[in-house]
Amino acid sequence: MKKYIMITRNSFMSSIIYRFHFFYTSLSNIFYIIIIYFLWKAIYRGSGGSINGMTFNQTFIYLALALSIFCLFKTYTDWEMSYEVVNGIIVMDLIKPIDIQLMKMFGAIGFVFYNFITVTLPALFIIIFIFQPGVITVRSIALSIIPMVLAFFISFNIDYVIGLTSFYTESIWGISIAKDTIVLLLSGAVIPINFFPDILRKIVGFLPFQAIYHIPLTILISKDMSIYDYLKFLGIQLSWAIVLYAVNRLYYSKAIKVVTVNGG
Amino acid sequence: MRTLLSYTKLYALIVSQYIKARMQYRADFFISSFGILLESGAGFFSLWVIFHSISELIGWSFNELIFIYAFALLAVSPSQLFFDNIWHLSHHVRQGTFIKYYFRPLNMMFYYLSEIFDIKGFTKLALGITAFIYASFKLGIDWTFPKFILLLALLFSSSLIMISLMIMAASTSFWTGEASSLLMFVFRFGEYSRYPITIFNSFFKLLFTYVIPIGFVAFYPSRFFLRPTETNILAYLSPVAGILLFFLAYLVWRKGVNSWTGTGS
Repeated sequence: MKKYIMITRNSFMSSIIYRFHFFYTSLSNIFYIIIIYFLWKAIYRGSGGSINGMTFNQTFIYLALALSIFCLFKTYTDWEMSYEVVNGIIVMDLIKPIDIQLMKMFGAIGFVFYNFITVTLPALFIIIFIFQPGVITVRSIALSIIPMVLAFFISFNIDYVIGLTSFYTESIWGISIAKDTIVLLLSGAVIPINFFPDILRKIVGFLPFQAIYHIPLTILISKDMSIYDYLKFLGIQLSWAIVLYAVNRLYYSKAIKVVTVNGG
Repeated sequence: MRTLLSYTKLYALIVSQYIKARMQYRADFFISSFGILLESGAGFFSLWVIFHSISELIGWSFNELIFIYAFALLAVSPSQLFFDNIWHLSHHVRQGTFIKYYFRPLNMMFYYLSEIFDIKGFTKLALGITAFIYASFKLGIDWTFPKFILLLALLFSSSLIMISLMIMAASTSFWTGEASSLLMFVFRFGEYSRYPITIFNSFFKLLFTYVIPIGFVAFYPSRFFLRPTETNILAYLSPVAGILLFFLAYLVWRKGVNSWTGTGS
């Protein structure tokens, strides 16, 4: 266990060298929050206060927090793995007596800590102090901690699938961009899933992406979630976490046989 | 005129070599094109979903928003096609490989940018053109010849605005050694420009018009075709803004190139 904690610490330490990253990413997020605020204000103008069962406040908080989660989970695992395959550095990981999936995950956790301090916390401050939403309670924050951990686990495993794909394709620029877009759109991070047309909402219910954003966010913004609904949400997340983890184990055992490293 | 001609010839030569080299990775090209298609098309999907719940966005119809979106896509395509190397500038500056651009009897900015011609930008362009034709067909816009010429001029200046902002952002790496997050920040202006500026309150309307000219990228020029009667002087100012900004960007780049000290290797 100690070696994995060291990996987490190292990846945290190596990410804090990018000082400007913190500044511009925060600025970029402030812009995004301002734009979704006015955009959704415009969408809600002329409506009777609530659309698809969500008030403006709920929608805005949902989307602003989705941004915070997106920044939190952005650990570039897929990009890093592809880079390592292209440059051959991946052999250095493969020869170590360490499980590579766990190693990448603990590396990603270090990145998440960094993201939390530099990007998510400032974004949360802006949302809470400037826009003053009344929808988040201490209870909902407490309830959302476990779903957030599971959401990270699912998000990491989706990145890892793409990362393993680079064992076959080397360059994954296109696949990664496509993955980011699909995850953001179908998880409800850009538009709350309550706004989707019925058929689409059913389809999205069968996909793992909503477990990253929609589930923790819904728990965060609902005032009176029943214990039954809560457990159902946890069940969905847990099943996806197990399925994706198992798929990755299987995929790795196949991919490791084809990866070719030139030099290194 | 002679120099312009020789530079065009040179550009064609460099680009054709680059394309030959890229064609080694045919699968990568197709997958990347697909990725970019999804990325640029995502906004259409969002609009389509949102318009299931509303019939108009403060007076703007679905098709009008598609028109503005398509205009924004067309405006950012040239920066993808011709200026994609700008993303690698901070890497070259950090590694010291930027030194090679000092040694050719060519305009440095030209030489640097000519090295990458991003073919997958065509996907963005094609999507933009398709959506643009669809929207103007649905809206019944009557394309006369002078209107078309005006469209080209406005698109040109919109692209120039985005390109200039990105060159300025990337040039900061001559001093700081890193620019990717600033560049990403500026790149996202292209995405923010897809919405009508009229959704903002007066403070942000002024900010996005005069300080960070996002409005000039798509909204003000599009309004010229969508609502000719509502247009004010701003639409005509767009080419001026584009040329002035590019001039400024070139100055920043020159200053950066002259003050860069290299890495010593």
